[in-house]
Amino acid sequence: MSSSTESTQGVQAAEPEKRKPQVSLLSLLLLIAACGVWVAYWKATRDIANIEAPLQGLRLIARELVIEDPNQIAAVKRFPGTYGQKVMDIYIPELAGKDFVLRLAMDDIPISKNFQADKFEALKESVLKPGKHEVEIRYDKDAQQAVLTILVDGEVAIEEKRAKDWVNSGGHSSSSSVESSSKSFENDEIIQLLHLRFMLEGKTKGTFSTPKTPGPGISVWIEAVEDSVSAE
Amino acid sequence: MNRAINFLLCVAILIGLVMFFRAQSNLNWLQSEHDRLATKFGDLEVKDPDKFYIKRLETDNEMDFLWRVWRPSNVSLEYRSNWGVGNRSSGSNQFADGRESLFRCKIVPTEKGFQVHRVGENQAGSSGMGDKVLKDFLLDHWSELEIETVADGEHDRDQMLRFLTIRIPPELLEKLIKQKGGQRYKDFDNPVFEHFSGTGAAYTRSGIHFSGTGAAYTRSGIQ
Repeated sequence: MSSSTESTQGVQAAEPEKRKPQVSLLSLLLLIAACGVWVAYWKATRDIANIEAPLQGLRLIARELVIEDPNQIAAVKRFPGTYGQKVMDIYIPELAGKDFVLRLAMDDIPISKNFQADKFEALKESVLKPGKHEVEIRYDKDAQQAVLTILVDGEVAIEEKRAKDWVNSGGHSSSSSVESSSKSFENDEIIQLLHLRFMLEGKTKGTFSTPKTPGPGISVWIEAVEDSVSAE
Repeated sequence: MNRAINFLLCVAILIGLVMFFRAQSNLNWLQSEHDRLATKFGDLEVKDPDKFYIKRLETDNEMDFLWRVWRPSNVSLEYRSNWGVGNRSSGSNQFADGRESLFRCKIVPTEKGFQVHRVGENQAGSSGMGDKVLKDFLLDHWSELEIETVADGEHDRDQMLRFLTIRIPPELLEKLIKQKGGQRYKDFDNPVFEHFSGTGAAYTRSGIHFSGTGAAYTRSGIQ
């Protein structure tokens, strides 16, 4: 009898250990909600990945000016309408005590890496007012003369006329720090809109190459100055 | 136990909600940016990055032809412009990465004739075309010319991309010769202008000699 009682007590003691873990209805609802939220998040990230590639392509061709910081210069090169056309969209910030000047040089232009614009005497210059500008650099040569024109918002800001034979060139090499996607620049940075060097005839007649020493070219850059410089 | 589970689930929901709203707001912004630019430049769906995809864009000048082009990776292309009698301009480029770009072919009337501008990824140049007589005649009859452009959509990697072909219809050419006394136009190549681009295989398929200066790329990459 006593053994039977012991056995019954043993069964009663083991019962709580066998109980299956119970999940409340609230927990179940919370679990469903958590799954729903994370699935929605996964779907949104997948949609972002799907749209990023075509958007990147669109941005590449749109070439829009993006002002990331209103206190920094931003610039982008437009897709040319014709061969050789150089048009840029440039944003100039408004900073106290600082002006941004567009400068031109055409003589003794060294190779790009040796060009220290801040130590170079500009041939002509023009102040760029704060705001967005369209800057176009044109170099036209006809039977009479060669004309370099820099237009800011459609108005002539700088013009330099030279004799038609001021340079006997057989082509040119050029570079620019303004690219086809919008870029921001530090305000003390010198921004090379165009650094072009003409190819000159070498010892062999009819053979042209870019000289290693400073030579004729077209260098247009933007530089920050402390005081206001009157436009030409 | 249940409390702990519920607490953890609440935390997971809250974190998930924050992440979702951030992602959704980013997605909404990207979508509106995409829609804004797509309205301006059209949508170019690249289903297979190993093929060409082309979409012509509208311009405000009937002599200005502009396209969006998806170019596959590891491809070597030769481009060529032919105009007038035996005039030709060509070049070639190798491209390692697949990317999208713009290509423009613009015909600009000048004092002496036309200047044809080609502006695109690593293929920019301009060439003089025709003379004053031809220019005046073509400008007067521009709407009567047969102008064909490359079809929008998908193109095989080794398909010749005939971006622009301009033909003078035979009766109009006859009129030009008669009216303008232009016997020099008798042997005029027709099309009067064409610009096309393709791989070496595309040139072979089309029966056009490929100079092969840039033929170092194959389907499998750089050789």
